[in-house]
Amino acid sequence: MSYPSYFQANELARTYRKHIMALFQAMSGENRKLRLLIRFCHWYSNGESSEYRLWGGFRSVLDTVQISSAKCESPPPTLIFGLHSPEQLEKFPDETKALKWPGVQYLRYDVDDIELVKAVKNCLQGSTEPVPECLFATVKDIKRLSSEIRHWLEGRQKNTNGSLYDFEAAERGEIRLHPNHLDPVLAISSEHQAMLERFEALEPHILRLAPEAGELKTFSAAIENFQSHWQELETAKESLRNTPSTDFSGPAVSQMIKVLERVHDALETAIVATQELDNGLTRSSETN
Amino acid sequence: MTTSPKAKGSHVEPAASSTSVLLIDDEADTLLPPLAQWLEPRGFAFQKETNATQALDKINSSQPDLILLDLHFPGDDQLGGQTTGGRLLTEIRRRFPSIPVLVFTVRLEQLDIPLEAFEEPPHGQYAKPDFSRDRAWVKDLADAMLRAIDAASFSINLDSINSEFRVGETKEMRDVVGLVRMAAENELNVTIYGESNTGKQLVAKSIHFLSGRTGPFQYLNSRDADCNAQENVLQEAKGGTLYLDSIQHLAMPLQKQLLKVAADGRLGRSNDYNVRLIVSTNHSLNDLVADEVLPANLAQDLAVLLITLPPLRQRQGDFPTLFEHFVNLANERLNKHVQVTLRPETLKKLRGHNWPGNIRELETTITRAVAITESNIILPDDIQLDERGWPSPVLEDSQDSEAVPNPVMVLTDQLERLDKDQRYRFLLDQRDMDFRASVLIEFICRLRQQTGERVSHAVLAGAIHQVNRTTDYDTVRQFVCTALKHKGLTLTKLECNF
Repeated sequence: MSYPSYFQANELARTYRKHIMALFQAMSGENRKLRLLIRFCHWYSNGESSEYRLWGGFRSVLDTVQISSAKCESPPPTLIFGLHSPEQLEKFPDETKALKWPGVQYLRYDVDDIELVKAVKNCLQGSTEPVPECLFATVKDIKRLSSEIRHWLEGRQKNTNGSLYDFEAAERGEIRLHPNHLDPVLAISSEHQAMLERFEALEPHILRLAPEAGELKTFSAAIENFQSHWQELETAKESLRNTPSTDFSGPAVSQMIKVLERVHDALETAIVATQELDNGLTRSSETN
Repeated sequence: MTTSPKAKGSHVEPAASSTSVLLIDDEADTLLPPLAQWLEPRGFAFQKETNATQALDKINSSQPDLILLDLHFPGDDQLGGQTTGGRLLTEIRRRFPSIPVLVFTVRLEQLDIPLEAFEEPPHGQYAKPDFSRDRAWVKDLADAMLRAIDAASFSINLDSINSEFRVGETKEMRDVVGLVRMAAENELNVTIYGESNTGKQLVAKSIHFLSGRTGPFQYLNSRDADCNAQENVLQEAKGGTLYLDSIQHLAMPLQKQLLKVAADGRLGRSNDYNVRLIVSTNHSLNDLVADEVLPANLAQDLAVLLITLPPLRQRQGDFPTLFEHFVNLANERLNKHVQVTLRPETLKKLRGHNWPGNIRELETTITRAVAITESNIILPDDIQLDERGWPSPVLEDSQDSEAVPNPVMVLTDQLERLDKDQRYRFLLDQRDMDFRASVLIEFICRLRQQTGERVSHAVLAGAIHQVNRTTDYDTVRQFVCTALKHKGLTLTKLECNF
């Protein structure tokens, strides 16, 4: 985000990976294709974009491990590169807890080739071991994510209300609508989609931690419902944009108001679903 | 302005001279329409950016008058600590310090995720509107945006008046800026409260320059005993601003003249004297009246507008700004190239100190650090603090002028040179209770440092009086307790600072 574009963490990771693969094949004599992830200590990366965050590399690895284990899949072996010495890392056990799974190995940038290949071997071997339970998503992890989602849904609902009131006023002839009201808007941006997918991927962990909280069916259905109503909204907007008249009134605006109300209700259902999930998680954690 | 090329409507476009606002929010697409609907007619033109990673480029290219910044972006739950918006805010303030930022978020109390972003206060905060049907939010938000723009431009003006004046980012100092602005816009008499070296004189100067007065800014230290000189200064202030430091020391004859100036801006029979009066003190005006130091009617005339300057220990959020400023000054003075980066451990050390000497002590400390550091960055070990710390009576007493020797120090020096049996009498002779208490505290601090041991009542009584009878001891003890109480202290409280 705030760091210069010359440091492209994902691009650098690809370069590292290529170099390590070639080195590993040359030194071990093995020609198999490695399923190896490369991350950097303070760069959070989801494979598509990267962002500088303290201990972000460890956190992105932990996310991958948690989601893979929730799906009963084996997480990819991962090498994390950084400037810190292993002794320094020991002072940050919470931030670096992904290292508790032997499929994740940490190396300094100045590691020599022999140590590097040795670490790759350890990493590959360690990745065959099961992920320890201490790395599974906790109630706190899930609640933070659901809180983040609720925050987004509430923001969208609030903004939807703003548009709704403006359309109502336009219908009554009190105002002329601002052109921005007809701008096309995605129902869910790619960043928000990634957030939702991550949440849904954790469903097995939610069921494990709080069986009574139930599955995410209600939530997922509400999100689908929201998407479908948003699509209706976009269609209605497009139709208004294509209307020869410059006067935003009449049945088209009435139709927009109805759709906006449906979007509002779908968002409300999704918000309530996240709250109920949180309540279920709280009850379970108190019981346990 | 951000509008769809296909969009239609006869909405009134904002004027070309409108205030440009950049909205940085992951939900900017849905937030913008209602904002644009109601605020463009009020002279605001909006641009939007939904992607935090591209926000800095957008700011650079658009150079908006104001930024509305959301604190939370998708993925912020994945790491504790500062949010994306929080980090973006830090970077904006570093790279675009003149652009005001209004943090635009849902109500803080509704958030259940970490908010370390607020560790350093932003230019302002505003809860996102609920878009009520009555649109009460429109005026509120417009006012908040204008206030933020005003405060930022005012800060720049102050900086240009005096490069030493650093407004900083804390709410306390922002409040001071508001009051300075208000004072500059009218002719009210102003009283400035504040500990030593908090910048009272700079605030007075700022009011003078911003008020547009054509006459001079005249400084008068009320301690100057020469009444003729004081009267000359009063005369020379004609058409300008008269700043009286330490008003509690103003001589009685001049108080009468000042009363006339304070009441109607006139001096003697002159009808065209027209002086703006600003005074400063570190005492409550009520106390000064109660102690008959100032006449009640003069105090009432002076206390029209009160500005209280916070001590540095209450402006912890300003350390980064002040640190950078003083490192730059020291680099220039010492011809060095020390980085202005403030490391967290160094910040922690700065925050752990009480800064009884306020800004001047900070400047001295940083200059010393720049001088002695062997690296290109200031490390905690380079920060050498006077650990005697609060309460230092030297600094409790108002004295902004470096040229004037501190009377508390002078008197304490004299006290130390006296024989033990004369010290008690010497202290009794100090009729000003504030001075008496300050000298006594300074004496206790020195005694504590010299002996390295706790100063008990018995030890103190022995140090200031030849005690040989129980009654003497009780008298001295009572005297010490009364003097310390005047400063809200006891010997035990003092000891806690060592």
